[in-house]
Amino acid sequence: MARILVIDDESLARFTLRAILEAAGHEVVEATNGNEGIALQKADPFDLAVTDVIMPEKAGVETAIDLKRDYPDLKIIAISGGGRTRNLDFLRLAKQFGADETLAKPFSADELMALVNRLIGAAERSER
Amino acid sequence: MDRPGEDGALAGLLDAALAETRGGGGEPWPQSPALARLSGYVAARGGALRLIDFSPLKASRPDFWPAANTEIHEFIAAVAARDLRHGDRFVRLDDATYLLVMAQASEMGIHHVATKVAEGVTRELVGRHVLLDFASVHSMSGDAEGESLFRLVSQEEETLDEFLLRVRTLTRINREWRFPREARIDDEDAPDTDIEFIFRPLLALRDRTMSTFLFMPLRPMGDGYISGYAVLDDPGDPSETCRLDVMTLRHAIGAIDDIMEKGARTLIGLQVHALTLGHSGTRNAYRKALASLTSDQISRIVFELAGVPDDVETAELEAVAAALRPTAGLVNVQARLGTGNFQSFRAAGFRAVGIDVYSSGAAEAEVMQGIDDFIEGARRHQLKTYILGVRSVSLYTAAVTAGFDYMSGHALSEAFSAPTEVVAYRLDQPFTHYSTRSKN
Repeated sequence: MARILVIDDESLARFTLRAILEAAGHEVVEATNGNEGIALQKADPFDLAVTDVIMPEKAGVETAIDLKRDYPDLKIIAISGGGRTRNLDFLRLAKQFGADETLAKPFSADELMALVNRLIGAAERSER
Repeated sequence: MDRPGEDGALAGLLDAALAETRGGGGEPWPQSPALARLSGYVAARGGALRLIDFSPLKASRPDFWPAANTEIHEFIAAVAARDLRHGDRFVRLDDATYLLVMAQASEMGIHHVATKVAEGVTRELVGRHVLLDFASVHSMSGDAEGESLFRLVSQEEETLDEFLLRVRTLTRINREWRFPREARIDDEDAPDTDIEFIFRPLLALRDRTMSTFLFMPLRPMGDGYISGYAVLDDPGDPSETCRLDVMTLRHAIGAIDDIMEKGARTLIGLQVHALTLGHSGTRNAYRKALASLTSDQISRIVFELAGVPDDVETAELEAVAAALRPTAGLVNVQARLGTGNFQSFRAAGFRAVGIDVYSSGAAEAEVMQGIDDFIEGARRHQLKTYILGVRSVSLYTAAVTAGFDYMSGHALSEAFSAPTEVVAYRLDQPFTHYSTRSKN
């Protein structure tokens, strides 16, 4: 079981992510914006963070930069609305600047869990 | 962070200031003679001093303050490590007050750092850009008797943005009259002497270049600047908007001639107010000024009609737009987020419709909620879209992904003192800058 931080300004997105991740047995904590997410990570570090790219006040890429700089062992998945080319551009930028993996909406539960399992599994192997 | 070692005199004065303000028997900081002496010492050496006071935050959030106190201290330590140079100092006077001494900085330079600290703290802790309710930044001077005179530095909602503009190099445009006498408007003999101009690049997202430079008037206010029609005492007076519009047009001519001479493919963006064109006297004055330009010069201008009321009738809009034609070429129109006038804009022949999120003062979340509908409405009527005043990386991200055709703001690029040749732009530039800044 991993502790996973979900950062998204949309409550429905957070609800969906929580449902998928908790069904897989993980502990989920929500943050509504990047600053809140960073504060939560600082208070009690997580194993993985899932962050939306487009959020007010602090974009997901900025959040990923700050999290990765201060917590290099934290795994980060960046998500964004798919469809528009420019959304994909920012997912690429998220990966360039700190995200370990990216996922374009809409995505299936299986797609998300495949990334989570791969990242959490890799983290556990590196700890041994 | 706290103790200077190289400058004994500065160290001694800081010790005295600390002793006084920490209840060492002396005056509280607003009347501290020790701080006055410190200020005089710093000023005499060519530096500057600021006092950052978080007591409004402490008073408004007493439940939050104990934890915030530590966060503030750590945040300031990080800023100090990044932005302070040899000889500069951050000193904690008491649990809510910090003193910033920058040994070689100008007034602008120190205020930039102090405001960044104050605004950064409030943004990180309470999620607000505006520092007015939570912190204050004071400059200080000591008089000959050693009494301190604290002056609250003017704080407007856009303080940090204005200071970012201020630290850029601004060119003073030649204000000499260049047009034939008959093109003058009334009271031209009393031009605004404290209005300055900058060029802010406009990013064209399709080809990722900055090929248009928006020519903007600025006026000093306090320690910052105000921009656009806010520089006017009465933005609702057509004669004032006309004077500013004509002045802006005339001052742009020099830049237009320069880019033509260099063979640059750049365009210049100029605003003209709906009030200027909506009244016959001021409309004629503006058209006279416009008529004195050559066709080559006009071809380098992209006009933006500003100040269009929400309830404008299509016929009125067409009349105002027609006032710029046939002389003017490309004309865009600035609207409000939530506007329903796309059909009218299209009917009046505008090429693009845009919003200025800086001037609107709307919260970022509100802007992000409204821009999808704005773009959809514009596209339905074959209008291109632009967004001005983008001042954060988060809004930049949202605006790019929403699909704006053009955008401008200090989150993308600094202001320029003169237009350049077309500049290529990479989408990751704001993040590269953020990453570099965060790392140091």
